[in-house]
Amino acid sequence: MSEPHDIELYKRLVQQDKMALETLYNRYEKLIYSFSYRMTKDPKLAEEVVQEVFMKLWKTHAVYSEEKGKFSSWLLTMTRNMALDLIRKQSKRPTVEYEERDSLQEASETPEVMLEEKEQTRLVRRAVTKLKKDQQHIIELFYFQGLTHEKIADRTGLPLGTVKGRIRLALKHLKTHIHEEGGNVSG
Amino acid sequence: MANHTDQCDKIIDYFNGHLTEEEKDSFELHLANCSECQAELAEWNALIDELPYDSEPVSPPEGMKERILGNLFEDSDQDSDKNEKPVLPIAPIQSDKKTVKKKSRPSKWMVPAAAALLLSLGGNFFLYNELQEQSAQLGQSQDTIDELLQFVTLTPADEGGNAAGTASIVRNGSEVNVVINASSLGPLNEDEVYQVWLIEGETPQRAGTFKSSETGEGTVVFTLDNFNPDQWNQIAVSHEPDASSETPEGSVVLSSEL
Repeated sequence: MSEPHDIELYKRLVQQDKMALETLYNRYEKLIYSFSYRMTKDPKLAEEVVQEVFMKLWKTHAVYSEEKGKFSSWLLTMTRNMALDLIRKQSKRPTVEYEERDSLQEASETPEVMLEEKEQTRLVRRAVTKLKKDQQHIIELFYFQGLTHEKIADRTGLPLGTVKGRIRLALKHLKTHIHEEGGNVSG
Repeated sequence: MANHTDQCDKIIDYFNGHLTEEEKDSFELHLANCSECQAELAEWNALIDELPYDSEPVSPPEGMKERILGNLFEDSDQDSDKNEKPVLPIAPIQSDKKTVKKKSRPSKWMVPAAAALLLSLGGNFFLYNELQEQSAQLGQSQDTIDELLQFVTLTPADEGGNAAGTASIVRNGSEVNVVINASSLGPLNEDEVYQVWLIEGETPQRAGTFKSSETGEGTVVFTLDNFNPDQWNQIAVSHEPDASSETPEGSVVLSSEL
């Protein structure tokens, strides 16, 4: 799973190698965009997230080192934080209760998605589908919408003191399902 | 102990970035001594290896790549010294007056890399700006005379079909430019490019990169610093899956001895 090639490209882009940045861009555009879109539910905002993530990488050289784990994980963490940030700034953001899988525009072709990534997507999506609806819901609110503790309690009707336990339970089941699907469970 | 529990309950808002600076500092102080919160947070951070993949793969909007890379590079080009601009990445402005006054430039391999990038961005305003600038430079008077060092006809390999091409090695003052002209090239898919290689012994080295036009023509010009006429024994053009190949990954379509 290690991706020395990413690290090599990262080192080159720190030297302002445009080609290295473009190669990384090609490699991660679709994943980052899809994740951003999943979080923001808005194509323009999702594009802004991608723009800001690569801006950070290129202009300010957000500092990555191998101790921080896989490059892709680091990039996705940056993506999530950026998406949450932009969502917060977008005050009039429509609230979406559930992930609307069917309404998302399905990709017609995925030439740039690496095989490994496709496999990971298939596996995680199957694992999530196996969760109970209320568990999927709490992961959506907590992880993808990044709501406050209080709002999660409001939306789920759970007492404040119960929310964390329910998140923990949902994640535990998720890990079990990922494991059953044959994935490597980290963390 | 009550206080401790209160802090532990802030972990969700901490993870999702909802705490004020003050609350954040206070939570981090707590975190340093709370193994339970540390473990929870580590677990949540590790979700990044899984949960993003629960996103339906969505095709980015048309032109997003050009917009984003264009913005990034436009800014950085404005910031950086003009001296670092790559020179003459493509053909349309190629003419018998192609002498362009060049200043110092980075290593010779930077030029093909930049050319490849420009070409792969495909006709966006970044490329347009480059062309504008070069067109302006072309207006300058010519103060050196080009000398043709070598001219070869490229012959198609099996994969090359009817492809045809020429390579000219031209000395202009202290530098040497290589011009490749090719025609009847097969079509390219989205990321695919034609890559020129200079081969020393058995070792190919990346040179220019280009995309062919709809009608199968393609041209690339690249500059070699410290050109040694005996260094290269072959020149080849291959069809590559993208512009990042460090060694030929696709098939050779045209080649010639030098």
